[in-house]
Formats: sequence, C-alpha cells, structure tokens
Amino acid sequence: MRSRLIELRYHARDRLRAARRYPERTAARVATVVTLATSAAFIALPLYWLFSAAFRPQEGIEVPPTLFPGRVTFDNLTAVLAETAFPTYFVNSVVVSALTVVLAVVIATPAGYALSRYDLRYERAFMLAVLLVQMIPLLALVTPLYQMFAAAGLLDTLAVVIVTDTVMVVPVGIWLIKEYFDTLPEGLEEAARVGGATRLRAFLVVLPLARPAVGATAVFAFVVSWNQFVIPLTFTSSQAVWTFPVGLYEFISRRGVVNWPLLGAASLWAMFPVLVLVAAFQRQFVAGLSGRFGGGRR
Amino acid sequence: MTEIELDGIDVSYDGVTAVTGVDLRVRDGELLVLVGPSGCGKTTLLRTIAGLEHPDAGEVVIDGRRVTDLPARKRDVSLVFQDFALFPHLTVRENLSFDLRMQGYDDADDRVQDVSEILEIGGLVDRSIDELSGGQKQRVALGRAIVTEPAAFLLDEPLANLDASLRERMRTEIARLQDDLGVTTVHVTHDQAEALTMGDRVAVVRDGRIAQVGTPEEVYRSPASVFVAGFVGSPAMNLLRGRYDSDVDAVEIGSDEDAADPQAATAGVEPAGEETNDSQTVPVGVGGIEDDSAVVLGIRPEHVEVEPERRRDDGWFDATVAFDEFRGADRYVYLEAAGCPEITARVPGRSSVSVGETLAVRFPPERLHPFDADTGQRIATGEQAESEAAAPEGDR
Repeated sequence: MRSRLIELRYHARDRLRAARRYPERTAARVATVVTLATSAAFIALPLYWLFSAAFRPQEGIEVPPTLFPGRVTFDNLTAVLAETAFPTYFVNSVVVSALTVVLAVVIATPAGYALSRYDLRYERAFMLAVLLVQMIPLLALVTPLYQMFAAAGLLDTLAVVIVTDTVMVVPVGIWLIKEYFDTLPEGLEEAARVGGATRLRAFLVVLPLARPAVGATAVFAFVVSWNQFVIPLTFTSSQAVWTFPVGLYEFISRRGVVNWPLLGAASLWAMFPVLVLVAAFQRQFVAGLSGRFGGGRR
Repeated sequence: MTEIELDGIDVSYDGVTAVTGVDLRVRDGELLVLVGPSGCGKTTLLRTIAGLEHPDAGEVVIDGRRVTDLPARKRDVSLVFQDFALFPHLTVRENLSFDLRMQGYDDADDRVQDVSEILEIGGLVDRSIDELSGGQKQRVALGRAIVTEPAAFLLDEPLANLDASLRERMRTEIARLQDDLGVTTVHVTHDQAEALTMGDRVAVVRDGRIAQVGTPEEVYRSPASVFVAGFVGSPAMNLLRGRYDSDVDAVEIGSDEDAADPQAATAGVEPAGEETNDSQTVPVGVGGIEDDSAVVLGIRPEHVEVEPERRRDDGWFDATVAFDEFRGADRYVYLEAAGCPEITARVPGRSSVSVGETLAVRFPPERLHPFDADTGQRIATGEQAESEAAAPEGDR
C-alpha cells in the first residue's frame, strides 16, 4: 500500500514535470481526454438512464431525476415477460434473426466464393453494384417495397421481414467472404481437384477454413436483423408478427409518456442475446472483419 | 506405362501469352525437369498437364488418352505444390488419405500406413499440419501425391520453400523415390543445378517455348542457344560477342559492338592508345562459320586456360585478375582483358592468384561454343561437343 502510494506520487510528479516542459503537448492531451470522455458520457448516460430505470419501481422515476435508484427492484423484468406481449415479440425476433442469418450465410458464402475464385467478366462492376445497393437509403425503398409486397400479398407476415433483412445484409456478407477467400491460397482447392474432387466438393473441403468470415457474416446479419425497426414497423401491422423493436414502441404512449421502467426492462432482455452472441464470437467476428487467412489463428 | 504428350500447346491468361506452340513428350518412367527463369511458362505447362489450365490450342495426351478436355480429377495424375497446399484444418492422416477418399478407395488405411512408412512419417499421422516442420510438410505433400499410385507425378517447385540443407536432401530423396516407384514425373524448377542433378532429361523453357530438351549432359555440353548456354551451369558460361574472320579462322572479340552499323564496329569500345590492344582474337579452329558474321562465343569457366607467365603464342592473350573467390575445391577468377567483357575462369582451389596480377589466358578452340549472334542459335561446327572428356556437374 505504502509502496503503491510512493509509486503514484512518483507518476504524478513525472507528469507535472512533463507538463511544465511540454505545455502544448499536455494541452492537446487534456483536450483529447476531455473530448473522448464527453463523447463517452453522451453515449453512456442515456443507456445508463434506460437500464437503471429497469431496476426502479414504477412510481420511482422522480422529478428531478436521481442518479441512483432509491430502491432496487426486479419487478419490471418479470412484469415485461408476464404482463405484456413482449415474449411474442421476442420469439418473433428470434425467428426473424435466425432465419436471416441462415439465409444470409447460405446466399453470401457461395456468392463470395465464386466472386473470389472464378474469373468473371464485369466482376469489379458487380462488386461495386453490390456495394451500391447497400448505399441506397432504406427509407427511399420503403414505399416501392411496400407496394410490391402488397401486390404479392406478403404484407403483415414474418416472411416479408426476413426477406428484406436478408437483402440488407447479403451485400456486406458477400464482400466479407470474398475478401477472406482472396487471402486463402487457391492451391488448396486445386490440390483437392487434382486429388479427385469436383469443384463443388473442393469448395466444401476448404469451407471450414472460411469460418471467421462466415461467422462474421452471421453475427452481422443477426445484429442488423435483431435491431431492425423500420422494416417490421412498415410491413407488419398485427401485434402477433411484431418484432421486439416495434414492441418497445408500445411503452411510449401516443401522448409521448414513456414508461421508463418497462422500456428499460424490455431493452435489457432484448440486449441479452446480442451480448451473449458478441461475447461468444467476438474473436471470430474481429478476425473475420479484419481477417486474413492464417493470421492469428490458434 | 505412362507417356505424357503435349502437342502444339498454347496457353494465355487474359490475352497475355504464357506458352506458345509447345511440343513435348515425357517418356514412360522418366523424370523430366522443366527448368527456366521465373515467368517463363514452366508452371503453366505443368498446370496444363494437371488440368488446372485449359490450353487455347493443342492437345494433352496421357497414356495414349486425349485428356485435353478432362477435368483435373479424371486425369489420374498427382500434383505437389510449391507451398505444399496441405489442408491446415485436417490431420496428417486425413491429408494423406484425402485423394483416396475423394476417389473412393476402400483400402485407404492400409495405403496411408504404407506411404507413411516409406516416407518415415509414421509417427506424425495424428498431428495437425501446423505442428509440422517444413521438411515434414514436404513429406506429407509427397505422401499425398504417391498414395493413390497415379499414372504421373507433377512437382511444381516442391523444394523452393525449403532451406538450403534440406533442399539438398529432399532433392536426392525425391529423385530416389521416383526411381523406386518408376512413375513418370514432371518436375518444375527455376534452379538449373537442381535440374541437372535430378533430371533424366531436362527441358529448358524460355518465354513460353521449349529452348532445348535433352539429358543433363547434352544440355550442359552442347547448349542449343545462347540462352541455354548462359542459363545452365554455375558459374555461368562466358559469352563473348565478336566477328568471325575466315582468313585466320578466328573471332575478334569486341569488334562487333553493333553489327548493323559499320562505324560502330570500328569505333571499338573505348579509345585505347594502341589500336591492336582493344580487342582479342580467339582462334576457333573449326570452320563452318560464315565469313564476317557476328557470332557469340561461349566457353565454360572450367575450360578457360590460365597460366601465370605471359605468353605470346597464338591464341593467348593477357588478362588482369579483377577479383577471385575461393570455393574449396575450386577458385573462381574474374579476369579483365581489353575489349572483352569480364571473363570467369574456374581453376583448382590450390592455385594462388592475386588481384591485379596479369595472367595469360587462352580459350581452347575445341571447348568453344559458337552461336549465331543474330538468332542466338548454336552454329553446327562438327563434333567438338562430343569430344569433351570430363562431365562436369552443374556446380560444386
């Protein structure tokens, strides 16, 4: 303890000395820290407000607001599950996200592979087009899509949400997987082909090696579809097919009164799967995003 | 009984020609080495045989069967890659049995067992590929190639990724394995020494064409062109450009800087005090060369005669030692003579020379390789190539 204090005093003096010698550098540093801290608070405080509300009693949102709840309760967490339609929304969200993940991976993986391995004419143009699709603002598409889905009789179903979500994540998935296969030596498939495999078989042989990119695509697809608000809000109307982001909207009344404790509790439940997923696949996710084959494995 | 035949093969990538008009026959059971500088098309040729490239023109025939349009998996060949191309997510055993499983063999376990014993990797079969050293990976890659007993082996620079001492050992090992199995083999390398030591026959490739095919001895002793002469052998053959004078049956080195321009020819290399001293006359003594034609004379460093005392007899000229390298059994002496590019001579290691010393140098006419300076092709002059006594190895 004593030695720790001495150490701290030493560091403090060291800093002071440095500050006196290089005032501009110190000022820049302080400015950076202050900016970052402010930005962090800007993002963190509303989150804190929301999640702390989840543990406050219904009548406990005081004016003026307090930083810490006077009394901590878990009633809101159980109330959301027992007394609202939230479990339905939650199940709908799980179904939508899971199927979006499956569809996105099934479409993006072979597409990314083919773009990486085959000499396709207009490949660059195609890759750019894929990216451009991603750049069209969603809201610009909502009206035409609505009319198309209405004509097709698909409105107000989970299917329409799944299809639209999938279309939104596939371009990124194709890019991720293509870029990853570009770093994977083609000799592996050639070895498989000379060894007696068809091209399809050779693809399946090396597929496990692309796990980081496929995993990153899956996580990306999950997160995007899990948080998707505008699509389900626009294309669905019955509560039975709402996903939870739409459901959360319920806690804000028409008059703009927000039921903070229930909203906080529902948000906490909704965050849970994403947190688990990201925690579990974080390394793979990062490897797949930044990834090259062979780098940092094992 | 497997012969591989290439018939008028053309291959190009995106309009860039990689291989043009290659005819090549690989005989049953032989080890043929394709050798050439990087980018010469040798690997493309190999990949064409394997079925990984489709030729724009020409036919690939394996074992009398036209396979040009067959996919790689149906050609019954195996390919060892430069980077081994082992599957990193499979164990050694799974890698070894891969081709067997793909081709539906039911005695995979026994074959893997046999192969791992032959290659002395029996103890490694349950390891993952990442745990292996370079040499072990090399063996696994070879094992994967031989385990299906294919009609032919194709080896694409399999030694390039190994360190020097291991490379020497694997060189012998592969040649021996090939000999034991008696499988028709095509081996690609950029290393001419490797080509000479390993090959039953050597095909020198340049700019997508076969420059010469022959036994290592043939290619070394009578190179078909200036390119082959300069490429095969270490240290490289001395190549001296000059003009042939039939009156004295000799070539004047340095007198042909630019054959098309007579003024350039007389201008010489640099203005020297004595006119006679800025070129050297080398007697050829064979005839068969057109008078006043531009030629390139080649002479191997080991055939350059060097004597300590100055000599004034025919064919001898003076040269100054610019640098020398002791190589153990040999010593490489780099010599400068007026009008000549630097000459390399290979003398016994025990002889002593010092930099700056002037020596007498002679090119024995029977050791000279004359080439046409314009076409680069060897000029047929008789039996000189066959008259060579010793068969020197590529290096060392």
